[in-house]
Amino acid sequence: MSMIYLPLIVIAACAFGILLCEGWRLQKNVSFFLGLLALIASLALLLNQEIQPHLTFFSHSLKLDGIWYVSTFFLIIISIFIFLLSHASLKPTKKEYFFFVLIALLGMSLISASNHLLMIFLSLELFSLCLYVLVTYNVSDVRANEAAMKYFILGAFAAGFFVFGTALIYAVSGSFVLSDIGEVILAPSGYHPYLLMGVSLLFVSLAFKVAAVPFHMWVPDAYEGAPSVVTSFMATAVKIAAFSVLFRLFLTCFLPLKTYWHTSFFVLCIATMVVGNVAALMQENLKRMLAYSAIAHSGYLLIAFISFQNISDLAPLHAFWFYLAVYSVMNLGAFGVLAATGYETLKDFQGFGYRSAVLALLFSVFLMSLAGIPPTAGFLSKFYLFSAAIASKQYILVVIALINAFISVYYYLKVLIAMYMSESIGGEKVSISLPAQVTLGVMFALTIYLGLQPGILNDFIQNAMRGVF
Amino acid sequence: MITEYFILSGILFTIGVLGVLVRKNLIVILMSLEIMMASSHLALVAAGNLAQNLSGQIFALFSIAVAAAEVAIGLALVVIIYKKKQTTNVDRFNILQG
Repeated sequence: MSMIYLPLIVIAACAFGILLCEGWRLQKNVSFFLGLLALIASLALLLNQEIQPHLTFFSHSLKLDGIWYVSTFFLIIISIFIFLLSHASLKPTKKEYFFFVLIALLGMSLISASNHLLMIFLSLELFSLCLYVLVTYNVSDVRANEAAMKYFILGAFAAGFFVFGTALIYAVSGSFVLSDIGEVILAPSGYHPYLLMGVSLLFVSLAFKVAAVPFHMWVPDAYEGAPSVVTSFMATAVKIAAFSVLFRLFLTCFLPLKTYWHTSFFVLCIATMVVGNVAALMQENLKRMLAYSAIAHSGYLLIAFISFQNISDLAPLHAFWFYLAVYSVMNLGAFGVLAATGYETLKDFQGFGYRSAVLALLFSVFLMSLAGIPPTAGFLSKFYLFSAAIASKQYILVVIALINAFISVYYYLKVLIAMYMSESIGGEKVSISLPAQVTLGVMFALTIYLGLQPGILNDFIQNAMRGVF
Repeated sequence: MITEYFILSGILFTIGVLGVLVRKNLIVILMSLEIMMASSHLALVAAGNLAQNLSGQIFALFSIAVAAAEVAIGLALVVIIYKKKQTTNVDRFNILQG
């Protein structure tokens, strides 16, 4: 039997290799190329694997099924482009940057495979601790320090909720393995109050991680204070990791409890969409605006959890993964423009369309895709998600989501107006380095291509999701 | 007998949560986070006794190690911020808002 977890071993080994290289004071670029090589190698290894959905490893703590496969595939690709962007925009004056990115990637991939509450907790902390450090990577920047502090306190707060919820669930089930817990839930003896309390505490803790309102307070601050590259990593990779574990817990293990968690998901979903979009209207800082838009997109993603009725209709789940992938592509592009140019406020972008036509065009396409305007991928992903919700009769949710999508067009267009319709504030043409050009070009191509030819991604997701349930 | 342990850990957890939400001093907030973790460990060990297996204790041991790593990063952040602002009052951390 081939080792299906080999991609993770490659990533971990190269992460420590990087640490050694930096200890021996080799050249800066060595760790960059070593990390990039590890990512490409593990991507190739991953694509060579056959998914075995029912096999578990290490006494049931890891289950390397379709959820793991899809999210790890996305995560590795994101990390490759984060590497390129970091090389271009962040001058790693201090060391260990790429080490932290790789270890965070390892934690995120492990959390999407975890079949055991202890494993979920450990991998959650593994990537969170790396991110606290990455957020304040520019130690001399007071804003970054403040962002990291706020992120840290709320992250540790959420971790406390997670452990306490785990303890309550364990008190009822006597095991941390998700399949054992699922059997206890299915037993006809009725639900112990501890079990329901535990599940709601886990839900609160994960709501912090996916940035659902009212647990979103850290998001705008952390996104704004962090270096733009790290922000794009947080907005894309962390969201995939957090949603994959939410997916595994609530749509496989806790699915029989849906009557209990349905209402709270419903309320949170509406609150997240509305608050995210309305708050984004008032922002002058683009990083902050995109942070609120990321919150709003979490709300759209939660629709899939509510629309999922039973395992005979998997359309909401396919729409969910498609949305997550497209969301990552366009956010990586939008934050990538901010990272490559170093611009942050709306004022910086005044007359940008006349200074750097190509870059402004790319940025407009990413923003239009985030707003969901055809023919971009953002439109199709929203279309799939909303039509799956209509098919399961969630009319109220779809109406509210559509109203929100219209609101969001306003603040995305505000940026376009600043770029094309206002006097340039001077400043010279912006030139960005080759790795950043590659990243933005690929993201642009994907945004357009997936909007016209969604079949490839859809087939990939449907193949991988076979056998998850 | 076991229920009392859960009540105690619930009370401690609430104290921790309130401490994080109400107190203004960073060090006290970090202490409250530790109380939250410690109360969870108590509940885990008690539940392990109830379930008559070792998983609860093992989880608590892992969790203690993780909490130590976490507080190391937290205190490092406090030191960085204190050097710049000469204060640990969270109300003074107001550059990022809106």
